Amino acid sequence: MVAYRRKWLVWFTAVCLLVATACSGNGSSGAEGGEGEAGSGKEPVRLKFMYWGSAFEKQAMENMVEAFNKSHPDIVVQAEHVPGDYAAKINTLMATNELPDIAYLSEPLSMKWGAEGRLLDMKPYMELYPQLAERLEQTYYNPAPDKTLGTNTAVEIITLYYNKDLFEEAGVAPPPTKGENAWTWDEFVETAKKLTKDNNGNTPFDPGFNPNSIVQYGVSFPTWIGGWYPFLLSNGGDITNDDGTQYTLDSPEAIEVFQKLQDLMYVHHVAPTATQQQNMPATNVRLQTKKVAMAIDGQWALLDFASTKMNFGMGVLPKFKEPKTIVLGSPTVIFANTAHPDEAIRFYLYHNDPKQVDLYAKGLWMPLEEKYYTDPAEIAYWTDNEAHPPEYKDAVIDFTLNYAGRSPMYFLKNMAEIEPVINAALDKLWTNKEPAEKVLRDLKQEVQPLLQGKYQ
Amino acid sequence: MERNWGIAFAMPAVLGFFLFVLGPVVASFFFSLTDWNIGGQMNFTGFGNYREMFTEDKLFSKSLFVTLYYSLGSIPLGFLAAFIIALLLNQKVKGLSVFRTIYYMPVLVPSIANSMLWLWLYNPDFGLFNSLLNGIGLPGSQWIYDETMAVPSLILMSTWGVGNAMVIFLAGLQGVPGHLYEAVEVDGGGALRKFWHVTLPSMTPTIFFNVVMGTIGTLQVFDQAYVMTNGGPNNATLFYIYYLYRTAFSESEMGYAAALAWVLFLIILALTALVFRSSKFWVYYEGEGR
Amino acid sequence: MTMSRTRAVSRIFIYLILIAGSIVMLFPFAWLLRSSFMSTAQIFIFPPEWIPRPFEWRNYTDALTIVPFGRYFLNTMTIELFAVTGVVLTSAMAGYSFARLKWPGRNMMFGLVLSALMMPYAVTLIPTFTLWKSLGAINTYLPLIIPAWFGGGAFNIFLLRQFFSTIPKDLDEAAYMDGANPLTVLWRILVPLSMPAIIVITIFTFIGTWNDFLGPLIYLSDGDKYTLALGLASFKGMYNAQWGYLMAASTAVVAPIVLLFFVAQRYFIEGITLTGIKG
Repeated sequence: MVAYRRKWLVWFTAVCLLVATACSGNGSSGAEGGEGEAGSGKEPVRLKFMYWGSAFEKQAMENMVEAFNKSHPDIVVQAEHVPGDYAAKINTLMATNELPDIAYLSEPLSMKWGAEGRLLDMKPYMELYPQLAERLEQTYYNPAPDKTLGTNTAVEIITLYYNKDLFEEAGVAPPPTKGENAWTWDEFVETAKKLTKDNNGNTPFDPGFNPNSIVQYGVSFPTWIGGWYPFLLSNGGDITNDDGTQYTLDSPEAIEVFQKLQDLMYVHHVAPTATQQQNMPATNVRLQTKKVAMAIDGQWALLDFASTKMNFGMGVLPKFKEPKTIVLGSPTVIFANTAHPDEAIRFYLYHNDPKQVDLYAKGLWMPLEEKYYTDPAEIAYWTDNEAHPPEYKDAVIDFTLNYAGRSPMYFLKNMAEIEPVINAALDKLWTNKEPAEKVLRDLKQEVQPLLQGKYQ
Repeated sequence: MERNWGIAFAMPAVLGFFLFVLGPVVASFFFSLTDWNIGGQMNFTGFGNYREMFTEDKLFSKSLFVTLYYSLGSIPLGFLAAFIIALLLNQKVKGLSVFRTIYYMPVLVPSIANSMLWLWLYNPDFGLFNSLLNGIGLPGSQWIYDETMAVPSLILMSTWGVGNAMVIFLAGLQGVPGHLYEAVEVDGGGALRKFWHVTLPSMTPTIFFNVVMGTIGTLQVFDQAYVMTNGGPNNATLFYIYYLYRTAFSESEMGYAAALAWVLFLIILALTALVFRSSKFWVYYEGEGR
Repeated sequence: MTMSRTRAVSRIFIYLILIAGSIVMLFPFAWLLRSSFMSTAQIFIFPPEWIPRPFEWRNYTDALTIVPFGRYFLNTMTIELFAVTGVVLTSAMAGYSFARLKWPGRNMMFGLVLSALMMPYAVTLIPTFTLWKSLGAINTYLPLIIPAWFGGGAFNIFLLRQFFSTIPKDLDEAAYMDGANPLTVLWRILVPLSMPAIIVITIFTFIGTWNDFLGPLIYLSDGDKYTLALGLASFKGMYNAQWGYLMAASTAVVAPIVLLFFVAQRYFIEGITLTGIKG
């Protein structure tokens, strides 16, 4: 009996050892490869950089990191691309103190961790590096008045795309490209109606128009916050009052905006419903295949147009009172416990420098530094190419400079909890279950307890 | 001797439990008694999280209800579908290998591709289901876009994923002793008698396994909410684990998430214990007794 | 005469059901396959089209070169090799012990092992990570392999326990009379008689490891060590996805496991089990 047990134990230990050696052999091989690059002289500083993005962005980032490592022999950046579930990973790393030095981070987490002192305060570095200080003011994430955790990785705004051929066909004037000429809401609805067609070619103006068989919609807009917040600001509304303690989505201004957005779907029949949009492709393909004539979407969608053979244009968003859009995106942050803050800042300034990364010229990103919006030579540097249409300067660059507010992610506390609650309630609006006034009034009791004020 | 062999054979699993399971589970219970916010402070709050759950948190009760509803629908439906398909795929027919593979394939299709297909099938305007319904003169439905229809729609969708349970049944059917069939035949019994007196009793250990696993699995349903519905419309498909996941990783409220987890854990534990208790009345092991 | 006729009718009936069901069950895969040959524009045309025009073969050639799937395949297979062996060996032992061998505390221990499945992973993830970190195993395959050698998961143990329980005990006893020990009984009698169940856990473990996303995502940080599932996910960005590539790569990644299943299910045949022996 005892002999049996020993035999078994030997056998089992042998297997364990075998596995352990096999795995550790596997594990160490990568590290050894890295060690070899160290080269002569002083040991280089090692930085870990974590980011998300599609395979396309990954390539651009890998090229950037390679160039950085070549031009900075004293620093070795190890880039880690996380292909999904970023929140689960970064939370795990934060909880177990395995953080990278630099990383992309969602806005709510950035603000929360920034307020907790987990992120490097970049205020002191702004004096040292003008390229850090002279950025669009909307793009700074300030968890406290005297602190900043940096800016967006890149600027994005909400903008309007359209299919030029469809406008010419219908003989309709294209969307204005200057903020001061922005369509009023009525002009916008009128235009959208002219560009909506059912399967018999009737528009909503024609008597035989059948709203159940629409083949081409005038406009599509996203139902997440980027699709309505610019209009809310345009009409002088907001989610909360100035100090972020009182719910104000039930104000007349807010109700008007949401009701008019709902009407686009269900009264004027010029926009696909939220349900219909679920089965629609990305913006460029929507326009290309003439499912919609205009589409409201993020500036980042411009990247996709490069590979789409079509005659498209860009314009400014329609307005309620003021012409408005929002700056949004998410930041790259440096963690406070990095052993090498100075090197990290150097990489931070390099990693989204338009001179080093081609994602600007490709249309995915907009630069952060103000000079790229004001200095003609610098503007040309990133927009004088095939990806950017001629009206880009007016419709995007100037519009951003003069009319862009910012997403509530920059200032409202507890957005991680507030946003899903708002979204769930708005489902009733987007599916036409209830009118805006009722939805937004009922929402008050759910959002009000979640409000915790603003960060600054 | 049997005792020592028994302990030795179970040792890897027992060690595995103490090394990799027990510690994290106990740790999670400790978290549940705190207000731990990842990256922030961790203060002991006693049963405060649990109290909040049962008194203030509307999403807790909502998500629990939605999840139980889903389980109650998908366990019997999936169970029956899997069993019937397994019986069919145990017949001696030509092309059996191909049939079996085809019936298993939906399990293998990545959930993102699968969800695109179902978004189309369920599309109220030009989806396949409504076209079929309209074709035979019935009114269509809003399917997953309607608060009352969303969960039933996801239950229906889950029947495409019965492949795993089906394979287990199929394996179980191979263990039905042939001589018992012969005995029934000698007595002049037909196919139905064979099924009722031989197949079904011999299959009870496998049936028991699938019932337990079905309970544990469906109460932790997550993918469809994560990939397809984001819990909507208006939280109609806010499955418990999805809500927990959001609390843990989107809001970083690990203390509260751990409390949520422990409540679900206890619910699953109680239900499983119930099924185990009942098993002595209906599960029949050839290896024991007789 | 009538007997064979009713049999023929029921035969046809079975075929009809099987074929009808097949069409329904083929839907998801057919959708994946057709999308994998389409441009993004065509994937989203409504009502959907089933024939790609033109056939975008480039989806495959591009998708499989943009992401280093060759390396990811080797990485995944390395994990598979160790994980599947570990699971089959240790879960067979544990399943046997829980089904057949009597020892004090057995049922309680089985309950504890099973309870591991009932705790949502989201809240044990961080403590588990801490554990592996303290063992210095972050960014290695150890966290993905070692648990397989410690029982291989409650699901597999439970499944084998159920199957072993159905085998008549007199077979063991006869073997013991011939001087066998439990190891030989397990190896010579129970495992061969439970081949379908062994195949099931092999298939499930293989597929589970193949598709595992969160494990490699959390524990690996070096891109050179990534697995197929992580490679697939990289076609979906934050704001947009390269749908054609995603579908093509998904098809390519799914194909081997479809083939594996096709080959392995042949073991679900009566005759290698009890009937042959007792007959």
